[in-house]
Amino acid sequence: MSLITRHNGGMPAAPSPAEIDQTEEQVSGDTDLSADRPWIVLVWNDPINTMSYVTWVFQRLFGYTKEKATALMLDVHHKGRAVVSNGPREKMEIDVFRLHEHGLWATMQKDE
Amino acid sequence: MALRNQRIKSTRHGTYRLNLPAEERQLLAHLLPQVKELITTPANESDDRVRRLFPVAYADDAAHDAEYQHYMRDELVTSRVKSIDTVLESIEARELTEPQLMAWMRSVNAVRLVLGTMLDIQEDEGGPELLPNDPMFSEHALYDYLSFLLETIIEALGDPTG
Repeated sequence: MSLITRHNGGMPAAPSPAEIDQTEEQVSGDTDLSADRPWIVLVWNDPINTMSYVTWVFQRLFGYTKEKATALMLDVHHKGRAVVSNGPREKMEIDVFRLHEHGLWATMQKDE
Repeated sequence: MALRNQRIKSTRHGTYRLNLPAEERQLLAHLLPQVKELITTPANESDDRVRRLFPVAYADDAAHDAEYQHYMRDELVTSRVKSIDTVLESIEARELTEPQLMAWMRSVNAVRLVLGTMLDIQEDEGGPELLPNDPMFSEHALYDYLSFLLETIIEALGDPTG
């Protein structure tokens, strides 16, 4: 991403977005899925935000461990996007806003 | 590493000692008002640099996005201006609180986003070295400096969940 980012080849494999969805779906698994599907927040790869910055923001905003934040950042970097948060629409709008405040390219949509 | 750590260093009181040369402070004092003007001038809304700082929220739903932007865009302008003002108010400070340093972090990154969009920075800048006679040489050097400063700030702030 830039001169100063560190590429760490020794990181554990990042979970795929599908795996993340599956884990988090258990939270709202017994609600009416068609009417109240949870919303997801995606962060998209961009060439300007550095890897260390994106990881730091994920940790700070969502309280993720360094390992989880790094795995999500690597997903964004290598797969082009990652699901970083999910839940009710109003809460996801706040997450998108906070990510935008930090200059990350975040969008939200209904989970599929 | 040692060089960076001397520039911004956490103290035992949970604050951060800021050891930046005067010319670097002057540079930020020169750049940040420009970003502020760029984002507070309504005519600039369709400018690529501004759009990078105010992305769509609903990529696949224009109606939802219009509604979101109606309520949140001004909030985001206010938030960015507040961060920039925090930096400008503490531009000569020798010591910063954590909220102040985070405002520095967001604002430095905002300048990088504007500059990176202008320069059309691409992933993994592994191409040929820019020559000093390149018309954008100084802008690229500035971008690299801001990247270095951002990294310094992140290192000083440390692991948020560690």
